Amino acid sequence: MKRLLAMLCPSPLGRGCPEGAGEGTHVAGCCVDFVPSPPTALPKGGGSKTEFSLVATGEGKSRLRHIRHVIAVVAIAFALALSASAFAIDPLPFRNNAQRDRFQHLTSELRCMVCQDESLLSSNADFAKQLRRQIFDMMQQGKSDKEIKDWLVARYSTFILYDPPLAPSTIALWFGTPVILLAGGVVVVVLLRRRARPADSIAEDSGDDW
Amino acid sequence: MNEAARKPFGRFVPLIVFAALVAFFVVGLVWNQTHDARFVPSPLIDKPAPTFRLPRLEQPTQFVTKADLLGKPYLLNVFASWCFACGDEHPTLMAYRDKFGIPLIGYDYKDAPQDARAWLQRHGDPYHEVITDQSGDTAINFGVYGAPETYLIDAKGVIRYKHIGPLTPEVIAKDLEPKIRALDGAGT
Amino acid sequence: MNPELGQVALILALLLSGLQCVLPIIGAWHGSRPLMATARSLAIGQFVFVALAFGILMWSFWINDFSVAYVAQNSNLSLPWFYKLSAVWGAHEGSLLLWMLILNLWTVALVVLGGKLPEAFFSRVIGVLGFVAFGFLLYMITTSNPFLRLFPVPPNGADLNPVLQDPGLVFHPPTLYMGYVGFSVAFAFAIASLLGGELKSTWVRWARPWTNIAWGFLTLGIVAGSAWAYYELGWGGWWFWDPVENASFMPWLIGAALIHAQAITDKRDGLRAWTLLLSIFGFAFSLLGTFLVRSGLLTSVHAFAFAPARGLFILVYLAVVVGGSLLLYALRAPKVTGGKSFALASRETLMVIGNLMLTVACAMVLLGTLYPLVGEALNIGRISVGPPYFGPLFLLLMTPLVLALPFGPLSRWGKADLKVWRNALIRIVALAVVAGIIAFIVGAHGWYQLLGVTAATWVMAGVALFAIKRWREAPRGKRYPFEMLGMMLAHFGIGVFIAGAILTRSMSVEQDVSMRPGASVDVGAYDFHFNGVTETQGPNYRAQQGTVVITRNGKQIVTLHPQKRTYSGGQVQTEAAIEAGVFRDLYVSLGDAIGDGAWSLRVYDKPFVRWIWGGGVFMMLGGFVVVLDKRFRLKRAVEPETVRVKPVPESPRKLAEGEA
Repeated sequence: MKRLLAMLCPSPLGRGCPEGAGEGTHVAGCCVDFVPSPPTALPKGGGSKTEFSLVATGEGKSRLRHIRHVIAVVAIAFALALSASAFAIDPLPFRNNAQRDRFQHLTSELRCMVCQDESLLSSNADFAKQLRRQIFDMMQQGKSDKEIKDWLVARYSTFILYDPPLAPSTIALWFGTPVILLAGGVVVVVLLRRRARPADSIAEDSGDDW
Repeated sequence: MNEAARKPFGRFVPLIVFAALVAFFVVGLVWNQTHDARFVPSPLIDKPAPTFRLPRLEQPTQFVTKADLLGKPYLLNVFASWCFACGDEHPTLMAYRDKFGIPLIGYDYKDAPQDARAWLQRHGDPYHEVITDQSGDTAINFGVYGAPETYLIDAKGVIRYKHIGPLTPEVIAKDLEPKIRALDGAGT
Repeated sequence: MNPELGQVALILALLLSGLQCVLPIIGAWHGSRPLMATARSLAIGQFVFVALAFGILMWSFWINDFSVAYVAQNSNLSLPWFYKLSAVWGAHEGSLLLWMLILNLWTVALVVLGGKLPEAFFSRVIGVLGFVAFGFLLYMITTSNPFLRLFPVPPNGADLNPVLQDPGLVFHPPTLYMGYVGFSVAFAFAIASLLGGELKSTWVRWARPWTNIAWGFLTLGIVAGSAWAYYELGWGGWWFWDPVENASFMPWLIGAALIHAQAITDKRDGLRAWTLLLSIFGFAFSLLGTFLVRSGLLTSVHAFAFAPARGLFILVYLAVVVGGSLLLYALRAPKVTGGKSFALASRETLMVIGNLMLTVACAMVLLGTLYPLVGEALNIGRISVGPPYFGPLFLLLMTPLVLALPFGPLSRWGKADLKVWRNALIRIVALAVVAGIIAFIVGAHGWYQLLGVTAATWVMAGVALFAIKRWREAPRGKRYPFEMLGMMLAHFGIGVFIAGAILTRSMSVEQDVSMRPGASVDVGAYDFHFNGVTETQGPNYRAQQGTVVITRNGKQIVTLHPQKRTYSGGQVQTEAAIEAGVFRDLYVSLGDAIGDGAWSLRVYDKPFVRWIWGGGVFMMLGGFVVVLDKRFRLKRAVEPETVRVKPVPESPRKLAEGEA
């Protein structure tokens, strides 16, 4: 059972998938972006996959499920190896740099639904590759950024946008910061007023030598 | 002592704000117990299902379209041979396939047909019909982003319910069956 | 060595920490020297047992003891030995043990170096740290025991995630924790001062070196994490405003504000209440970060434990520690007014503005990070908050700070010389404009690039101007005290960082290409020639290795070997190949075999990307250098200058709060 990535690291690679999880499988906290290779390709000495009975704890249920997955990994791995590889560096035939820049900017603002802590631009998930292709095609058809985003939102909800739209539900988000800034500013102004004396009344104080 | 006497209220502000934050987290933790944060509600609920034309798994030269399925409600279950959570869901589907009261259509997602056939052969086939979407392009129109996902589509072709992740008896009893009954009751 | 000994060690440490948080504080309150003296021995005792537990866990990894569940989950026979050791903190339970060890390291450092602090104050500080330790140890022992056993014992473990098998991941968590946990010292000082009712702010001077070092480490940890993400994850990014990143950035912002607030309180006796508050906030955000990444609350947190008990416990702990502190603050904070007054145009004002912007920025990051939770909990739909939100807002908030930055050091305390400001302004503007023009001539035409150049010059010119002024005006041998030097280094680092961040963003070129062996592509001023792919092998992986030769104007620069590794556990990991340079990075990632011997590759030209981390390193150095100043050396046996503000009837309430 793969424990999830070590703490506090700014890694957008979510893990925590039971072994052999197929890409795009709906499992809480699982973002598959690698493809297990068929066993014949594995180097020796790595130890065979072992099932081991686990001390039953509160998480016993998911652990038992893990054992089944260990068994299933071979078949799934083989099937996966046949399907599209998960690491999707995507050469797309851009007409020019401007188009590529626009594409990169647009996809960087969209969320990958599978590996939800990555953008569509950087995600290796096959889903992301597919959507990138879709977006590229739409760009070729002359659709604007807004049309593309609307098209995606209609299918995947605003969750897919990393730039939250200005809507009643996001008012607190967008106006929260200015409000806090204003409140803080008021406090500072009051503080300075109360504290600050007219300049001439303050003795020249070299403070602490500097 | 003056310091003790004059205690401006402002001093309690950080504590109050913090208490609100903690309350918020408690709510969040509780919410988290009952929800999986990764599962995003579909924007297509109560909207017409996208039109589609997909080959049948059994007979790839024959196609099933949205129009073919109009007239009565059905369940569309997105699955794949590579999806192990679908394996988790499978026994439930086998048990309920006739208890739903409506057809259960399998939607084979991004899968090689021979793999799907082999998988169904090995585990059993709960579906009344299976259609395949090898490229996954049609699935995008449904807002699919993984497997398993299950859609309840009514007789007029409108999506009434979507469940992300494996179906369990609890989910069926609590959410799916009432929705199915509601469709029957409304006479659609 | 029996892993159960590790459990016993933790329990003993728990007991000692319990005593540590009670006895010294009672001692200080009663003035009982014997009780106060227990602080040292209890702290050292706790350290011994925590270190023992940590050592036992590390030993279990070293000897491949897969009967320990944690070892079985995170290690493997074929794992290189250094990764076996770093796997100790590779997952939840072990990372908590690392947290505890580092807390103890800070406490012992205090014991060793803080001998000259007044006894009562010192006892309270150790007591507060004992309270922090107690809660955390309790948390570990009850919900996250790293010494749980596995039966039957598996012959081999699950492998360590290949993403973790990297020097960056060996280095990044310990440094980050040194920072995070280090803020507990400033926190302890603040609480100790509140408990003791100190009227004078000398405690702030004692707190400053500890705070600076903690902040320096935190800076290093964040830099390490960012650099790691850049070279390990293959998409050339270095910051994503991911909740986990934000969790470490928020304490950093507060820490930066705190450092400056402490300076004002230390030198001018002003902002006492605010410095206290920030000291509490700094550690609060550290704890908050720890909570967030383990609570399962945030979608993108590929975090640890989703066990509900763990999230809830930390939340309770957070509530008690921070809530208790804020309550103590509300009841006991000194008057807001006080300290030497200052004019509107003065160094104090500028630093207050800086504090404001940093604090609001931290609030903004908190808001954006938590907002998706709001959406879910209140059922108003799922939204995502990402770089398009954080980026622009952060930029806006930092703008006033960057503008004010050169003038802070140039101003005097109390009253700034406006003539100095005016002269400096003219010079800095001139230099920034000149730099912008030069950049334009050299080829930077984008407005964003020009912004980067001018902003960076603005900051660096400010530092340079100050350095020159100081050189002229100060007597030899006293020109640059360490405190000032540290400030200059850190501010200079900000300029370097601005240049790196903005220029990389605006000047990077990235392309996905498919190439046959022998083909080449030109990116920016460089040509990338692909020479095919061969097979190779490592200690626990097999790899497809590409060969890419990079030339410029026909001259060969470097040969890179990006790899696609398949580890013994079956995972595939892409190792990008990077040619690092001071002024630019060249970066190649291997994609997939397309067929016919062709492969897809991702190639980048990333100018100035190292300046991002270089700036961070300068800031870290600044933080460390400040500590060397003789100002912070304690004179012999500082007598308590404290005057009790009020008698001590609060005791029952204090005890109830758990703070005493």
